[in-house]
Amino acid sequence: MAGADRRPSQTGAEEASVPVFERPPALVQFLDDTEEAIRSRLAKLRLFQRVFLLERDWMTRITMLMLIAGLVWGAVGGFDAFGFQTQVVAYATGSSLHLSTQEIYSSITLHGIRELFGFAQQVELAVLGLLTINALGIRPRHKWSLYTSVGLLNASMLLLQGPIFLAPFNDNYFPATGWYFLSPLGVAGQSAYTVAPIFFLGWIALAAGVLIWTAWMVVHVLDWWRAHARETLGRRYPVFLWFVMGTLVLMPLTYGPLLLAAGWDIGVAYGGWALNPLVNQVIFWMFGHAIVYVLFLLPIVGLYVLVPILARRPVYSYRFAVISAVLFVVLTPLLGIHHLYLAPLPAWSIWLTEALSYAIVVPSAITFFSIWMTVKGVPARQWEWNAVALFSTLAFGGAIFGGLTGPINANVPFDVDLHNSMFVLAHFHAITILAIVAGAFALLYAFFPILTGRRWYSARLAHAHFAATAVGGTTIVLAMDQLGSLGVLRREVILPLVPAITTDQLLLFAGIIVMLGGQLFLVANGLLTVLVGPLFSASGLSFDEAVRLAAQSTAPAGGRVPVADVPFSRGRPRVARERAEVAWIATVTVLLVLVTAAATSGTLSVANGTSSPGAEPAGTEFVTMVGQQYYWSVQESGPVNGSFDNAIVAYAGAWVQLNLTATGATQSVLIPFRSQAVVDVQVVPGSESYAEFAAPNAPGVYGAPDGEYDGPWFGVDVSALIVLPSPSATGANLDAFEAYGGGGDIYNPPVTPAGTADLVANGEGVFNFSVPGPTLAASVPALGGTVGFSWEVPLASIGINNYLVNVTSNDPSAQQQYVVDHNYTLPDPFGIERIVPSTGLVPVVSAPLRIDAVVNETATVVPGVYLYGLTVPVDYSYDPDGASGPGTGTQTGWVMGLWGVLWVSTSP
Amino acid sequence: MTEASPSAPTRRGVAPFTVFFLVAMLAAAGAVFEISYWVGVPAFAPSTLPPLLGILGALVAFFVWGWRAPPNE
Repeated sequence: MAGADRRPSQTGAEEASVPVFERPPALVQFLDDTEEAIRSRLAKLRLFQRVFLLERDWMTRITMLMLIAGLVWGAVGGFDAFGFQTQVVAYATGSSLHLSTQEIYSSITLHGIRELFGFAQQVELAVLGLLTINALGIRPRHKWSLYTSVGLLNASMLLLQGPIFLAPFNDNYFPATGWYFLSPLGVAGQSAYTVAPIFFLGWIALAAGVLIWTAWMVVHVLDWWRAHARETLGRRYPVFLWFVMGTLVLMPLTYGPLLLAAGWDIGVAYGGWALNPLVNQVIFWMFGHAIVYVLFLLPIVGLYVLVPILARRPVYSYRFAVISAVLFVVLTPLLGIHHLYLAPLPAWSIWLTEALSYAIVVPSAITFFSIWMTVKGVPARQWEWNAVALFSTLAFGGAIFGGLTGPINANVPFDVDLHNSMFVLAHFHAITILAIVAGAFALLYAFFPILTGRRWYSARLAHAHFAATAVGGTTIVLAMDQLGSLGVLRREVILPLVPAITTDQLLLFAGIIVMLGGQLFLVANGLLTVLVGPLFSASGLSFDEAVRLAAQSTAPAGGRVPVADVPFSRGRPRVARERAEVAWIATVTVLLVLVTAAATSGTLSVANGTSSPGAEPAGTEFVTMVGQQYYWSVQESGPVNGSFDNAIVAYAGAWVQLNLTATGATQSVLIPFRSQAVVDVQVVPGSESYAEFAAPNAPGVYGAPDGEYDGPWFGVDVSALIVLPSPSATGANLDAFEAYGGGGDIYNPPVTPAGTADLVANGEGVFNFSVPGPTLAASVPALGGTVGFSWEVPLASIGINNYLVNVTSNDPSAQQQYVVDHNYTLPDPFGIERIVPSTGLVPVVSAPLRIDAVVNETATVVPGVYLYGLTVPVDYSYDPDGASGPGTGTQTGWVMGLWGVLWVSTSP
Repeated sequence: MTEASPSAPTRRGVAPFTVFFLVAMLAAAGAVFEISYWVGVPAFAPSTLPPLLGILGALVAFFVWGWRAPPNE
């Protein structure tokens, strides 16, 4: 590779001969000298010299540094996912969680950040820089700008981790904000869960690093343009260059909004600025969505570069490839709102975003048809199934696999059904693992030998790496899809203990292990390559031949094809080739228009229903709900009156109108019926949302989880729609509910006879692994009788994940000691309260919460519906030895998980 | 179009065009499998059916135009 080192002269004669005004600035000279001192020392260690290419030019060294750093972040991010899934599997198989909720959710946050920005984006920037500089024959310059960019990118990964205490060890201040951040969650003064300021500084550093890289690339492209404009004007530039140009346009359009959203959050937290969360989120998603498409351009670039090289012929249709690049750039920044379909935004904006989300199918359709057609006519004897070809094929298939579920997610009525479910995660991981990661590996296998000057050590290891990635990645995606089909929410750890969920979680875990284990083949092959791999020389070879030679070192010995270029002359006119391409694109466009038209009515209905109250039929139950981050405060008027926490109460078949606001974080009301229309609405602090639905005809208890991640107590943030029998059927039992399958909602608490119920709280502060706890069914005579059930909160259940006792010390036994010191009694009232439709809750029995004793709860009651347990939320605070605060983060909130419904009928 | 260089070994095998097609169809089948589940859930079918039919139509078009298109020669 070309590259200019400014090594210091041993004699100083060189400096003396250079006029003072042409010498590098003192700072640059100092940095050069320092770098050289470090480089020369490290180069004496063979491992460092070989791995980091310390004898090579600076551009090669930095590119290699980016690739290695990218792989390291990718590995760490992979272990984040592994750590999260160990907890999910533990819970799904009946154990308590071992990590704290902060650790569990920060592992998800950091998994996303490290994989997308530390790995995928860093590899993308390295590859695009390498490709552009080499293909255009540009002399790289501004070394320290590139170093600064790389430094900021990797420093941002450290900053985004947040603070950590080493002694005593405490990583609970790592950010548990989702995989990104979404105002007001995490913002000091706005949310019960806040993160350290360095988290937001990390986003600023990430944006700065990317924008510096963008400016660095623009300078080089301009260098090339000034030098070659006249001779290249009117000629065809490489297809990948159009995508590089597109990336350079998209980066400021993507990271500008990030700077704006993060800067606004910082101003709100530390400068007293006003916040409009909905506007902030619209801005954020201009980044949050666009970045995925920016990263998706990596496999697209890989396919447009590698497939023609492997096929030994140009891309099928150059013009359509360029159109595809332009369409990606034009449409990508416009789609952010499709992450806010269920928020109260103007209906026209949601419809337009849906239409544009369909439109971006067009450049993908162009790309995959063009790539497929590029190999049409290539005989088998001219095609080599090396690792580059295999990973390219996987990226091609993976992008189609993930891409085809994109229009489904883009469909607003469908989004109501499955918003934030694991189905969405299956789509996203098909794109990230099977397209982006596969594309990155294809490029890595092609360019690693060119960078290192050594052929791949082992073709078998490369093929094993491919097999494990393909099998592991596909298993992950299919397991996520199966979980989505069951209705499981993403980021959910406290899951209903349904056998099918446990099976699919184990399958997902197996996929992660295969995927992660498979990467060891790459690491081993990479190390063996740089240490003992045979030498690779591209001397006398064209760029294409060099890539083929590099790829050939990963081909089976019996299947190798000569790497030499073969002459190619067009035998088929452009018009004939493009006729099929035009027909294909026209067909896709017509289909997209038809699908958009078919969805329009439903889309407008959803959008209007969310942003304004609907009609009010006679007998409507009016429900005002305020999301208090981890529970809903409910006020009702209509056939049912009263105040409740986490419970919506309505008569069977009645119309229910919800008027929703929230504080602390974006929340949602999700009632995931399967046998009638799903209720799902996002509630963004600072704005009002609405929902209207008919309560099911079968009286019972329907689970209603908060579908939006809102902080570390997300798992116990589940409310319930309690459907009462009509007044004329008071005393009805749950037979109809159970026959009805509870509407098909997996989040419905299980129904258990009260007399045999053995309620035991687990380490997460919920009864029998269910939140709300099991619905207890009992029967008494029409005039009343005695009901009873036993319950226990074991001392062993009190710990880091149990919100019942605050964390005030780093001593892991301190919470239990607090209970012992307080005579095994906590002040929170545990009891039974009757739901009286005319007035609300009426206490029946109540006593302070006993710990570590089996309590036989009995009461004399009349037929009706009751709440049992802690029917009001518990105030929680995490502040070990005073460590929480503005510099580290805070974790507080009102949490409610130890409760359920007692259903007293007149017939068993 | 030109043939491979004279030194290229003569090998039998499946043309990459066919392999790419099979991979595309396998991927599409996976996606259709994921989506078609929802058609069987009565409350979800109305929102799932139009995009699913659109995808099936696109797969037919992909096959038809891909096969009718002249080779990359």
